[in-house]
Amino acid sequence: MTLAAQIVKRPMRYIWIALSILFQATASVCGKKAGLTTSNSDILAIVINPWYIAELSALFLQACSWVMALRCFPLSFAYPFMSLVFGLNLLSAWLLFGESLRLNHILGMLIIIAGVLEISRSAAKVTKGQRK
Amino acid sequence: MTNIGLHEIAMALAIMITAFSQLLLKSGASGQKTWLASFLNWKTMTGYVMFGMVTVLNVFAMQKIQLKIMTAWIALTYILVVVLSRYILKEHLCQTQIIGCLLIGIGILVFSL
Repeated sequence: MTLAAQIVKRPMRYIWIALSILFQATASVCGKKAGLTTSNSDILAIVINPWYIAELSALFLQACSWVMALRCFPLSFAYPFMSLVFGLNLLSAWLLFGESLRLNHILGMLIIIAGVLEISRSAAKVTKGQRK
Repeated sequence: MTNIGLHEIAMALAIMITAFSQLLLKSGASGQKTWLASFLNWKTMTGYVMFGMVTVLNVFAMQKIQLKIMTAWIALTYILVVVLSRYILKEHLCQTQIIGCLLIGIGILVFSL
C-alpha cells in the first residue's frame, strides 16, 4: 500500500507526525523571533523573552506529539518525516524573515535532507535487526 | 571569509552540546531496569539540562545568524552523533550512515557556497 493510501485509510495516526513537524518548525521560528527581539548576551533577557517561552512551549508540545507518533509507528518509519523540518525552516526563513533564497540554498538543503533520510535508513535496518 | 564572532561560536557550541546530549540521553536510557529509572538518572538529567542550554545558545546565535544558515549548520549534529556513537558508545558504523554523513557534509558545503 502506498503512503498516500495509508494516510487516507488511517489519517489520525499521521496527525501526530504532522504535529511533531509543525511544532518543531514553530520552535525554530519562535527561536529566531526571540533572537531578533533580544539584542545582547544577557541570558536573563533571553529566558524571559515571550518568544523564547513560546519556543520552549512548542518544543514541549513537539515532544508530546512525538511520543504519540512513536506509539503509532516504529522510529525508523517516523523519523525520516522529521527531515521535512529542514525544508519548512528554509521556507519560513524566506517567507517570515525575508531571508534571501538562492538555488544553492535549495539544492544544499535537498542534499542535507537526502543525507538525513539515508541515515534514517540505517536506523530502519537496526530496528528490523532488533525485531528479529 | 566570514568573521567568526561570539554568535558563530555559540552556534558551534550548540551543535556540539546537542550531539553530546544525545549520547548522554542514549547512555542514560540504556540498561535501566524501569521506565522511571531511564529518566531519573544523572546522564538523562544532564542531557536535558544540556538541551535547555542549547535553546538559549540558539537564540543568542540567531540574534545575528540567519535562520536558514542555522538550519543548515544544525544538520552537522547528525554527523557528530554518528561519529561520537562510533568512538564513545562503540556502536557499529554502517555504509548507509557514512553515505548519509557525506551527503549532509556536501549539502552544507553547497548551501554555504
